[in-house]
Amino acid sequence: MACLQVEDISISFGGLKAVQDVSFALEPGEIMGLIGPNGAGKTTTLNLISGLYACDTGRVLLNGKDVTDKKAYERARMGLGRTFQTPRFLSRSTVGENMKLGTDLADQMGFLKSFFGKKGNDFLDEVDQYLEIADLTVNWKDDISSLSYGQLKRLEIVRALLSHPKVLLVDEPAAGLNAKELEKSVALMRHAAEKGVGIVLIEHKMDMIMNVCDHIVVLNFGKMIAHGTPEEVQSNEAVIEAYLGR
Amino acid sequence: MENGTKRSRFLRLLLVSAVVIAGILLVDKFFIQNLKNSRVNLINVALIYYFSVAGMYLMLGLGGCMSMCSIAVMGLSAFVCGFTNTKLGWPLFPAMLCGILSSVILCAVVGSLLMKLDGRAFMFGTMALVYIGTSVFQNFSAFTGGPNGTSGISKLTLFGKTFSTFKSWFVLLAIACYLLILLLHRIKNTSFGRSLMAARDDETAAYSLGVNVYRTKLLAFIISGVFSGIGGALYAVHNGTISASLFSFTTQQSFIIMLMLGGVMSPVGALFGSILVNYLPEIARSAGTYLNMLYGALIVLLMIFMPMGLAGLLKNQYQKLRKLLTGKRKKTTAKESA
Repeated sequence: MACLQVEDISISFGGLKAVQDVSFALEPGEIMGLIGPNGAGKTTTLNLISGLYACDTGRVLLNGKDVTDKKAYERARMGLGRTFQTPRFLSRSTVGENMKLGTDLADQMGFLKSFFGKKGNDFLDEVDQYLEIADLTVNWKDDISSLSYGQLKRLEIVRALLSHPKVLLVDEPAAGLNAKELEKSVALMRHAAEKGVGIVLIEHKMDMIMNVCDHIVVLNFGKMIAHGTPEEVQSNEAVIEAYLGR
Repeated sequence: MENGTKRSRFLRLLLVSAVVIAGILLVDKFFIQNLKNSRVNLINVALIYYFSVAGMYLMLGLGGCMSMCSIAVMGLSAFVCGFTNTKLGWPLFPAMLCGILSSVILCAVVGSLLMKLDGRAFMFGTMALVYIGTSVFQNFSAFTGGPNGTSGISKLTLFGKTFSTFKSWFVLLAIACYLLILLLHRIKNTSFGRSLMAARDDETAAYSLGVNVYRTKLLAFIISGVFSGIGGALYAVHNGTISASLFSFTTQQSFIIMLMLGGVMSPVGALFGSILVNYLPEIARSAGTYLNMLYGALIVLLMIFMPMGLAGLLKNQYQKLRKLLTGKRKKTTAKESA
């Protein structure tokens, strides 16, 4: 069964049809690329899936359950993780507090339970495993603001993975990263996919997309213009036209 | 969070508590008992105000929401406690509980109405509550005693000891404030505390991490209502007599200054802020009519030079000193550095 199914979702902002009738399905363990020129509606599509925007039409199904009417935080609790184009962290907190927010989502403790109970330290092993894959060394008690952009980009994926998502939406993981850092981000995503997480990946770096993704959806002006394996997409006329502007 | 943490943490807590309580007893013996009664009253009231200031720390420091109605919530609790005790003849503890409960209900109702608004609208909405409160406290004579206020509230008796003078209250209130600080510290380190900070720093990130921002902030508002409610009930019993003028917007203003002066991110700082703001005018009485002018100028300087208050200033100096002594921190694994 598909872990994420998107059926004909659309949204308009005023007169602008930002996303029109986009449909695709994602199997567990699959990495799907979502590409298109700037302004094609890629991030808007992610926002529709994660619930930050409400769909005008269409449905979003998470593990077979219709979540179209669910709010963003409810979808997150149902196993939908995401990262952002610019990493979003609690700017005035420590690395540890930021990472714990990811594990809090996996634990889903109520207020009273979290007040009287004690959070175990088991998750630290998991954190270290991810940090090793991401080639990150951080101090748990440092302020998050002491980290570089490249570190934050990778740390955001780690935080999302700590919440044990079933579907992970990753928005431009390569932006601002050097080749080595990017390689580590890819390793993180591959590791997650091997564990059965379905990943939707937005990216502009074509060599990375072609290399990593099992299949690719191409958007242009909010419409889906192609859908297929990397080879199929590369030789698609409409895609070449959209990118080269013929 | 090293190995064997639970025990070592408990021992550390015990040690700190012992030192703090010993400190309180020493201050009581050598300072409070030799002070004029009116000055002890000022310090006690500052400690009672701290309950409301602690609620504001939770809302503003952790939640990023400026709530302006603590004084009205406190007033409601005080008058309900006074009414049930003097007019209905209830014993003190049920009366106090009833006061606290009334402030929780008020916060739940007002919070669920206003919390959906953005920060500024929420602030103005809660501000209106103070004006409503003052007017009700002044004019609803059957309940509050109107302009005369409520008097003759019973004296507190605890462990066979009656708290009849201001001087006898100090130790009790100081220990209550210490417990409150421990509670705030604990709250900050729960998943609820982290959710609250997430809602403060980045709502979008909070949503994507499964945080119900509205519910989290509402819960924080209700908890701050519990704190203000306890403060109000204590105020009524401590003073024995209460009147509407005690719960005006001016006091709310000083709550904000107490929090900002002490440090909006630090519960301990806010405690010292409360005591300073309440006690300083007494010391600087010789400044006479210039006092308010000086006060205003001080606040302007405070915001320019120490936006994070006294606690922020101390933290900065401490970090600079540590950096100087230990050099740059070594980066290690999460497990080792946690």
